[in-house]
Amino acid sequence: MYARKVGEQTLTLGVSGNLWKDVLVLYDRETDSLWTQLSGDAIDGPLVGKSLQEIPSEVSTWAEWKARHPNTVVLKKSVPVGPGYLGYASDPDMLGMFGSKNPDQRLGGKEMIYGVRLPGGAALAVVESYLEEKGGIVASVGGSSLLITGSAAGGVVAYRLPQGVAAAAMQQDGTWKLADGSSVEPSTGNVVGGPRQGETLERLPVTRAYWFAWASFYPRSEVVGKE
Amino acid sequence: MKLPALSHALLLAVVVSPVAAQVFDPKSLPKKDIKGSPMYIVLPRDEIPAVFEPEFLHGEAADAQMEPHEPVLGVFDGVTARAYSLWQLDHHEVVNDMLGDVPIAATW
Repeated sequence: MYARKVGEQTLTLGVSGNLWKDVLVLYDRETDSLWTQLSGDAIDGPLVGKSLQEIPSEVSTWAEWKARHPNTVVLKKSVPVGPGYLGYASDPDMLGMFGSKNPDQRLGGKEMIYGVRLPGGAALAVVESYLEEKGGIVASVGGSSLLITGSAAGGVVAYRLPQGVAAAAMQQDGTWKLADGSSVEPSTGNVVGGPRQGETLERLPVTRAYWFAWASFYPRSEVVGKE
Repeated sequence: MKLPALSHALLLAVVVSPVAAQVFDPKSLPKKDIKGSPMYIVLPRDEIPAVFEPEFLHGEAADAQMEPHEPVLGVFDGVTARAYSLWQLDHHEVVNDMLGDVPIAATW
């Protein structure tokens, strides 16, 4: 999910039909610049070098999302769509359309990860199965400590912990207790108790991706949850 | 965000012949070098149809269109909640929408 305004210019995005480093390339109608779907960066055209700002979003089920947001709208379907794809996801040897190589052997190419990118450029990938097993983790990257955990929605959320706070533990009621005694509600990032009550943690967008694709974009990414 | 490489599985389905034995040769595609990696021109622009003028449903009409366990991408700005079926996003790849005053691109 991106904000599609760059400076004062609102962009209208379409699908270019191109592939670059195994990711889909979008284009904008206003300038004909090309944008990577995975990272929102302009790789060609007048706006090359610019980036679309990521907006936090979540993946959930319709039932769960509607229960939390009864007044939600949903995109109307113009064509019938259904689940299921090709056998692609289950084929460990098929990396990308053209048989890409895994650029970084720290994880298998098809290992599913949740990736978080910090504004300064540091990046972290957490192995999905590890995160599911733990329920949530705290990890350090780029001088910050991140809380990465499941939300009630079934998605994964990431928050930057306040400066100086480097640990947190999940409580029985589902909140996270930070090392400074603050209690955080994970679906919102709201601090609901303790010395920082009333504050909201800075939320960072989370990208779910195959490792080989994430690693090709963020070759210096930290990895958490490797066997 | 979606499994990024699945988006080109869609392209694969469109481009490759149903004949199972046919091998698709990427060298036959036009390409352009960008930052040291080739960008392949696989399909014409807009052959995968992004959504430019989205319409929305709410309430009972929304429920009638959706299955309870259908995966959705949801966004909430504290006031407005908007959801997009992931099955539908797989088909369109990007939806040009507004979240309050903010122009957004829903993509997975």
